[in-house]
Amino acid sequence: MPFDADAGAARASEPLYAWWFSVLPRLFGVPVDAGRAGAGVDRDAASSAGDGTTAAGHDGAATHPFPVDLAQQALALAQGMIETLVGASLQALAERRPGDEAQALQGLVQARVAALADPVAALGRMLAGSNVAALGSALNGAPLAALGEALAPWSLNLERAYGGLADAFGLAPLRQLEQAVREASLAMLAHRQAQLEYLEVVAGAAGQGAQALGARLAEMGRSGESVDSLLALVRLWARVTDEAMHRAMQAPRALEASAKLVRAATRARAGQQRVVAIVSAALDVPTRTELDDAYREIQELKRQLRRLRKGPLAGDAAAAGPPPAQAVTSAAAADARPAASRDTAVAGPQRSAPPVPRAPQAARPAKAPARRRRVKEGGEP
Amino acid sequence: MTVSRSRPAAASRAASPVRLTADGLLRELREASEKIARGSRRLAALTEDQLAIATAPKDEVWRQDMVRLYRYRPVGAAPTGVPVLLAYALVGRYPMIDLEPERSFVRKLLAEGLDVYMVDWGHPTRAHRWLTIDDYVSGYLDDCVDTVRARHGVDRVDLLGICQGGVFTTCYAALFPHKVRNLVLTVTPIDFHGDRDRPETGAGYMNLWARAVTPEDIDRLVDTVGVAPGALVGFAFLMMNPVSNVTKYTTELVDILDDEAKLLNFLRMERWIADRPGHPGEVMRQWFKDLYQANKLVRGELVLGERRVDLGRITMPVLNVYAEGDVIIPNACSRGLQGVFGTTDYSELAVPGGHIGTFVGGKAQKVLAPSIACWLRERS
Repeated sequence: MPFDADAGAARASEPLYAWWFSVLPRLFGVPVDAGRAGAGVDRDAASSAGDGTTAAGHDGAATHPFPVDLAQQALALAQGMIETLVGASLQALAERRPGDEAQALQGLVQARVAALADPVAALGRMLAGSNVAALGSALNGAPLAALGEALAPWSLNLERAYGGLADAFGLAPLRQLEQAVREASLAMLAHRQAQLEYLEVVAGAAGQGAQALGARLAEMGRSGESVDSLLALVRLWARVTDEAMHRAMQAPRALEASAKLVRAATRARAGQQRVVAIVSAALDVPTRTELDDAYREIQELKRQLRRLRKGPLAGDAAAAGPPPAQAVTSAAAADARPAASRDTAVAGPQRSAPPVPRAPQAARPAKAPARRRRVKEGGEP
Repeated sequence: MTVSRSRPAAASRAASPVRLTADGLLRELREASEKIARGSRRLAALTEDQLAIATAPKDEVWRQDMVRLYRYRPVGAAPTGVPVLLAYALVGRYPMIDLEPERSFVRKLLAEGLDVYMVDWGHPTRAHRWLTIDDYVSGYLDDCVDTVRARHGVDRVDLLGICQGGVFTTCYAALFPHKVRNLVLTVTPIDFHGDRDRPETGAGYMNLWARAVTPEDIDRLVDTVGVAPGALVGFAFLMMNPVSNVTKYTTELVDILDDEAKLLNFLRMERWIADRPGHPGEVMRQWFKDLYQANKLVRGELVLGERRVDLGRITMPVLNVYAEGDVIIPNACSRGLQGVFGTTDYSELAVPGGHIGTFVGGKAQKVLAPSIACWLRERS
């Protein structure tokens, strides 16, 4: 299947790759340019990868079949990551701290995870440090709720004083828009707050991974095992951190943070959509709701058509023969004849149900069975 | 050999098993750099043909909206018996089962002499946000089944569902039992709360997440996204293994650069991952609220259209295949279902590997298609 047959799908995935490849450099402190071309990487091959362009043929930038350019970009990041880790390890060795290479790795990753959370944390700090009297000390505990409370009287008083007047001058949409923008802004702030809380959980989970790595290394030390390669150390870190993160992210606190994030994100999106809807309606542009209503009606008409074609209770028919052949497309019809005779001939008689309950039996592969294959009757291993 | 076992050294050294030296680090950096340079050149020389996926020859025999029905061209002698219709999930696309010629589930089924059809659900757009599970089951899937029946002049076909597609085929078999001869489920969740009593560490994050959010959260999610973008669905899967995905694009990729077969497999898999369709909102609403949250399927409370999905009506033989290392669908949700269906002919098959590994893993490949073909032949 030539991939450009579904170029739309590749483009849909671009934001995902772009996000991921922006996280990786920050996680390992790799220079941003490494995302475009690393020391050992074919620069021509990687030239189109750094700007988020990932699909073959997209804007004419990519010159290789998808996802070669992405892989080139990943290699550049890997090169940068390895250089960074080697540098940190050499520094640890130079300072005569044998065994600190693992600490250097842990410290590097933890610092980077913390750095990822910084932009959001900064927002939280900004809110907490606000001079608005109404926010008061409550901001430290629940800044956004306090912000909303502080703004509420303003909104109410403005509405009482000028609401009717504005309506009289035909400015109702403007007032609706103002209200919607205010609500959307608060929802977006709440979204940021939820992101911060979620990132704190992720950082904590990564920290547990670092602790797990320390414990694992100590265990290896006691049993006489050793790690004599930096990449092996990275692999070990990834394995134990993955396990630790799974445990941490499945814990109630992390699940609650995730649910809160979804809640906040969707409320923020709903708020944005409401703003756009008000503007659209004011400009006589079809709104999202109107468009969706049209699609819903079309879908319902399709269902009615299907019921007319098949009958309302087609599934409950006591007996069913082969359906009418008009369902077959012209392409199928062209092929369907030889099959009408040939395939019918090879289909043979059909048994409607097992006449008696079957005894337990294993599915026998035609070829030699693999050692671990298990077929169970009754569901127990 | 980078992780080694040796006799315990002095106590002071036993506390620090990391044995890195400056020379060793510089050598490792040089070797990795050279390998990356070699790999980069290798990557730059790859052609579209080498990276093509879903290459098993097939013909489109039916289409409606974005949905297509394909018939794979038989290999060798003309296939005998009732055709088998495969239904993949909506969260990914069917090329997974034909990722590369050497590891193609479809090609192995064809080699077993089966007549194979495949539903391609395509890429839903905004216009498809109101599609429900019933639209897929009683609409598209039923039309596909009818098309196969008409083409071959048979009353019933064999159905094979994969993951979410397995739920669809299960519902179909319950609603249209007279059109299904045998039902094969692969890595399919049926008891969505099975993990509650039998939790598996590292598995079933989606189950836990779905129960952590409220039905109102799901409603708002669906209302605001309409059709969930493929990137959003991909992100959800990515975050199930965030650390693994760090190493996947760095150290693991470097590790396979000198192995062309593994490198091609990696790139083809990436190609499949990138082809992530959007997910119709109303299906997502039912999927999370009715199944993950309320577990209505196994309780016999799921209603599609105006009909209840009664698993007791599934009286045809059922083969249930689960992956031993499946972390997306916990084993507790997909196995031990012999009392759930109305059939007296229920079998389970465990295959090694994970959710996707079931269809592309080397070990699983040796087991899956031959076992399914054998099971079907015994019931033909």
